Amino acid sequence: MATLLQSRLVKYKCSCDEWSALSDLFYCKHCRALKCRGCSSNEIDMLFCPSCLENSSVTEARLKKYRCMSCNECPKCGRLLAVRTANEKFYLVCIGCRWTTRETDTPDQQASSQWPMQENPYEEEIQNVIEKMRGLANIEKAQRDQRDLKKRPMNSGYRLTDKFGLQQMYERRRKTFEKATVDVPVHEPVDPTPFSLDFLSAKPRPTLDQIMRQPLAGDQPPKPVHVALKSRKSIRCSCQHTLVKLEYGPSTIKYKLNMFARNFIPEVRLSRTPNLKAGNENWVMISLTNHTSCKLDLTLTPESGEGLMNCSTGEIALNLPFAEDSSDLLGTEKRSDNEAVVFRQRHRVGIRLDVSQVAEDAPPLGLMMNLRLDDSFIQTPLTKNEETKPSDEPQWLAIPVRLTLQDS
Amino acid sequence: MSSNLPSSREPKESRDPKPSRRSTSNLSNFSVTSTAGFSSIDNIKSPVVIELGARTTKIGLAGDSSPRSIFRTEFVDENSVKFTSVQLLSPRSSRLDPNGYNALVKFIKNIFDVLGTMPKDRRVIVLENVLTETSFRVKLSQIILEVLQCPSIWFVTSHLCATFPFNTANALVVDIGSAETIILPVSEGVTLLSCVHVSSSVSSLYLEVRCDQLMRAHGQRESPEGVRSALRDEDWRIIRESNVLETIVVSHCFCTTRERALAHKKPGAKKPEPEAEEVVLKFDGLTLIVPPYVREMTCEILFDQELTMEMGDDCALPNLLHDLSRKLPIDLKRQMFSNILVTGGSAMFPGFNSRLKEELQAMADQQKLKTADDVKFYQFDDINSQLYLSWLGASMIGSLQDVVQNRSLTRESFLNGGRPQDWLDNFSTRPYQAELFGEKSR
Repeated sequence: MATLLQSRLVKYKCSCDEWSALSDLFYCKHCRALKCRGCSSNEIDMLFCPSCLENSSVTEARLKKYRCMSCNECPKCGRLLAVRTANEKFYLVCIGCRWTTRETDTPDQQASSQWPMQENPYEEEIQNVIEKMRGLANIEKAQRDQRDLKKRPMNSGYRLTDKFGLQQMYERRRKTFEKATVDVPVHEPVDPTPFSLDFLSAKPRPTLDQIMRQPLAGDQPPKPVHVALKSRKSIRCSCQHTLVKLEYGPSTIKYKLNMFARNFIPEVRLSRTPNLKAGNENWVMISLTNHTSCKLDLTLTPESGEGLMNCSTGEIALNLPFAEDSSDLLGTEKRSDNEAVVFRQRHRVGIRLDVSQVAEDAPPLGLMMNLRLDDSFIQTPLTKNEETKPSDEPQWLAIPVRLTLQDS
Repeated sequence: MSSNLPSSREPKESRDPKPSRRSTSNLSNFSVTSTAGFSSIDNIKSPVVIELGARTTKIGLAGDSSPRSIFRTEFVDENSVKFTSVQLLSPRSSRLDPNGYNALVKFIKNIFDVLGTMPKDRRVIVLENVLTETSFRVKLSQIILEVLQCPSIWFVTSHLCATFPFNTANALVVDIGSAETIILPVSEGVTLLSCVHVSSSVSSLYLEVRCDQLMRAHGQRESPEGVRSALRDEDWRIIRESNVLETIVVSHCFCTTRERALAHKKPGAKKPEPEAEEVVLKFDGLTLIVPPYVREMTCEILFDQELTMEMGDDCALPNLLHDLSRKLPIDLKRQMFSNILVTGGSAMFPGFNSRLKEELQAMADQQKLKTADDVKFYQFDDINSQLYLSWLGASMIGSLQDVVQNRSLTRESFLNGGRPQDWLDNFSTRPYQAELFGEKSR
């Protein structure tokens, strides 16, 4: 059974008290805690086009309205448009719904990119209104500042020497008061467009999805929609240390830094589908796999309590070698460190947990994993402060794990 | 130009990397552009404007003339559980179901992902309608300020914002949304909250219910051989799954004239000429015939009081507007009818405004009123502006740094117990509240 299939069944408790699958968790070695997407923050790494994978800088993207200039989507169905050539000119075709730019008023283009975009025909008017509003905001601000100033006794000496540029500031303020706001005419209300027999025709108007894709089109023929840029994110812990970061370049799949919890915490899986019956004679087989690159000391304690499966197995102390460890190549060999351990195979152990089930629906099985942290990979900060030095006492990390036994 | 004064002045001060060397003891009193308390917030970056609608969410950066992205208010989480807008936007969902809250957090995070910005960088402006519950507003502030760590949040009234693009201070704003219609007059830039009118029957939800009824009565399917028959149960399953009713309502229905509607309604009367063309739709192997009657009569629920009464006890649009006009001060009655501003995604039907005018005038004639003599509408032709008019207004006011800075609730003050201003905070209950709770006025 792959992790993929069990991600719903085995959940680890994050440091923010949320339960997540191991594959969704990160480990911050500075906080010594598990972090999930909910308690870490994202940082925009780069902006790129999801279709042609070309990355663009933030300023560039802003100029292009966060859209790719060379890739286009179909305004009807949202699929990527294919470029076709005819008479050394380019036009676009949708492979899905057969929409083409030739149906519309968009002429064939000389270049395959830089297709015209929908513009707001009222752009200028709106900018004028913003200008007027800005004038009003300035007046509001000047009045508020004036009010604040009046409260204080003024020493006019500062005004005479313009050492701090105050005179300039006063002048500016005075101008704001003098300046009447830009007078922009109201967009006059009009008589509605009367009913026309065109409404009766069966020609469909754009659907809601099409309007959402191209809100400025109105009743005009649609234009190709430029593909919106996507952002790639790096993940940061709340302590500002980066948890996951990819190498530069939108197409790379290599990590510069990855702090996936899987690299630090052993993975718990249900090695067999539990077959639970009412009564006491039940067992659950789990396996514990060490994917980390070092030997792990840990104890596994079944938890009992309200809403949890009753488990009679006691604490299991384990020592897990890492995957490349060649000291144990002899294969399956049961060791007598604990009778709950069923098999050992290099970096993996099988464990049998005795559980009792009374009710029909099985509650989740609770485990407490206590992990001895190997801090050797953490660089000690070069500080003079003695107290911040890591102590020689081994640090233990407690991670509660929940296993859902009945797959609904 | 002096217009860019604030932008050129403030960033310099707020972004000064070095603390001033000179003694600031005297000077700080004179610093009229003092940005104390805001210095950590980057004011050059334009704020993020979010409108969480019952059907569609519009997002973008302030200053843009159309939203960057419009998408459905839905969220599918990593376990493929779908959260509808009702689950996401209900203030109660957090109490009943923690998953609803988590989904909303992820939904809002996704908004920033789509915009390609980091929440920490930008102020946030959220459009809300006047009926938003305080608990939801607090919940949203918590997500945006505490979880996502945005520097500040400002709730703006969507009805007021809808008037900004038209540069008008007086308008009767009719917002026909997906879940309800809210009518609020704005006079000289002030919302007349005492005159607010609400109807849940006038909404795209009920338009779809109406369309459903009519399709059940008149809709037909066509077999590959061209034989037409009534719709079967499995056809209705396809209709539900492919969201066909919404498609029919949005792209095939229209508002007819009052005369034609009355002719349709009167039993035995001659059908109006010419008849609308029937529409043939193909979905998942089903060929659906939408008859002219359905196309023409679906929108009647917006105007016909009898139909809305059947659905619930709400009023139709003309009745709502006339009721509201009775409450208005006498000077405003005529003025409001000649300044109607219809917004909301459900108002994009062709012929909607002209039909509303007809109905208003017919009703005024019946009651011998002169208020509806001159019915006029604010409208932008050629762009589907109704869908994002309020967003556009918020984007316009959001581009004014100083305005946003002064009206926003900052993260610091939220963490220290500050709450977003409520509607009534600026009214007379304020001193009363202060007395009651010993609260220090802001």
